[in-house]
Amino acid sequence: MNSSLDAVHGGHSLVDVLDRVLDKGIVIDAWVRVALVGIDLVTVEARIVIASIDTYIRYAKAIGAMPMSAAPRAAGPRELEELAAENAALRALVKDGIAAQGAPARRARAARRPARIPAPARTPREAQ
Amino acid sequence: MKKNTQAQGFYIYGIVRAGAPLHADCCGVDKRWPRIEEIRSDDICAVVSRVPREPIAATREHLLAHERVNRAVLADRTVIPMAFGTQCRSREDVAQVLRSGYDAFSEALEQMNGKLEFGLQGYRHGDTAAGTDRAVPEILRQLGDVSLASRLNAPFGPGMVMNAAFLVQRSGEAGFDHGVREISQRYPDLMFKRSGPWPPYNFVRIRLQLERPS
Repeated sequence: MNSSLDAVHGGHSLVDVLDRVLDKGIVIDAWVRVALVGIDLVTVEARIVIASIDTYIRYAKAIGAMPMSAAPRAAGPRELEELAAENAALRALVKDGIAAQGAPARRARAARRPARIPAPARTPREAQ
Repeated sequence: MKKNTQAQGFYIYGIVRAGAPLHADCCGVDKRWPRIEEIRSDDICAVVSRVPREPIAATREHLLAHERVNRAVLADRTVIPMAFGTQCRSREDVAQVLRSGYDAFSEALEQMNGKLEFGLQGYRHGDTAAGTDRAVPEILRQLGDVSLASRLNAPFGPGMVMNAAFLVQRSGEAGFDHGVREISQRYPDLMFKRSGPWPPYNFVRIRLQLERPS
């Protein structure tokens, strides 16, 4: 039996939580989140509108996979190469300390990485 | 402790289809108001708890509380998770968010019904990096048989070479675990960490904006 599998049951680790909860799922832009605390939507007649929606079925369609059952193969070799290249480029960016800039807007999710890489570093300090 | 009712807002954890009562017997992000409630609009509900009317800090405690609540709800419901830090001033504002995003929320709930997310991270042992470039696409392909979809995120942290998420039918969890065990035996040079179940953070992305009348 190989012991190289570590299944995490029970509570999730903070880094895995951070990897998900900051910019995935339903996201309201940061400044809007602050605005929501300060303004009363109903009285100022501000509206929340859907800027975009992507779900896994839409992802699959976007890269040409047909039915739901084909979705697992969504990440083809070409996309993986692109992702790998993008990841490498982003890592370089972050290393150079210009993490906050330079990510092409609305590219693959990896492109949003730079904006949130500083977050985990910030959190432990806040947590103390 | 005297509670100032004027200053209370609502923190949103996620969105569920209206139905059976929630079984979320856990504490929300603010210990003074631990109770998890639902605010309903049409046939969808926001999972909320009370918080003060001030932006909530991304502390370890708050982040873990956000996830703890969603995980508890996930035990017997499909939940579309909110990103951390969304709160509204009133019940009526929460309902307004639900009404405004109804089409997107409803579609996502439909598509994610009965599905769970699992994480699988691969780490190299020591300096043996050989072959991982090829291994990652192979692993995704092999686990494609026991999952509905997969997503690759940027690896982070020392030694991590793969940071993947898989969408799996609730009834298919055992099959997915079996697939993961096979993978871990097939790639002895890699160490794997499986996490989950998670709400489908990696398979739903809904962006909301504020629009003010001009």
